[in-house]
Amino acid sequence: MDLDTTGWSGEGAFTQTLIDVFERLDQVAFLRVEDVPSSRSDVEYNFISNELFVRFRTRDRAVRTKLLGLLPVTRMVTEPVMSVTDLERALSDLGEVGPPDYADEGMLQYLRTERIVPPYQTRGYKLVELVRIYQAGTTPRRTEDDG
Amino acid sequence: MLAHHYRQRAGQTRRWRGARGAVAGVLLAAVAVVGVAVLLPLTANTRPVVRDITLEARDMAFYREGGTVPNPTIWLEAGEEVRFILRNLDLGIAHNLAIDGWQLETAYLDANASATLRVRAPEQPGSQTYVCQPHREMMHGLIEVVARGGSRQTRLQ
Repeated sequence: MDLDTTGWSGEGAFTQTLIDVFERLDQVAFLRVEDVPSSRSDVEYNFISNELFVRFRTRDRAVRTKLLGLLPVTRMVTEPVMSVTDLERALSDLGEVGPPDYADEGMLQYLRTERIVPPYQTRGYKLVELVRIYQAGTTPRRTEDDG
Repeated sequence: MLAHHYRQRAGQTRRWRGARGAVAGVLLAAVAVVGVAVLLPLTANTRPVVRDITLEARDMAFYREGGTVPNPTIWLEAGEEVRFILRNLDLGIAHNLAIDGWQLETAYLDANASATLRVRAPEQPGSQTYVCQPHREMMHGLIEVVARGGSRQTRLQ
């Protein structure tokens, strides 16, 4: 699998888990990871938002059709071996990932929340990680203002 | 002689009718002027203008419509009436808008739903916090109520 992390700061443990999982999936040919500009932190929380763009491997398939509706011909069609819906099923079966919090035909979304209490401190902060997975080439759902 | 008499009567009748028409026209014009003078002020909207403040919930924060600053401070004038419109743009995450100090809250909204809170700011300047109740740590901002006639530039920030 080709991995492009040039647009990622490296923040997000769950994002790293997903990268590790994708590296094991034969159907994934390429993965690009990017930070989302809406990532931010405050005293009470650290919000990490990342986007993953996946390109699946393709296969050629022979399709029988009729030329001009008359002559039977065979055409070769290149299609991905997996869809976002298939990916959702595959990830849901994995214990370290599980089912997404939101899914549609074009996007999977995971929201992970954890309270972190640093050593020798009584008051912790909330770590929130929002990860959206798209098929490469799709427009992200974030608004244009987010970058 | 008789013919002359009838011609004279007919002339007098035409003049009388003409005078009556002129009087009726003047009366009609007067009624119209009075009517416009009385009714025109009634058509003016005397209710105070309600300002719409649209907030979008996205990426676990509130933004002004089309804005880029998360959880912005909202400035109101004392006594000002505003309508907060919340639109949830976070797919798969329910949000609401609540102003605890004024005991106001919307229902929890699914993605692409919206709700409205109508608020009259108190007469006393001060500040309140607006939150999304299930995500209040990340989604909270300030409502600053400033004295009436405060700097417009400040108020519109």
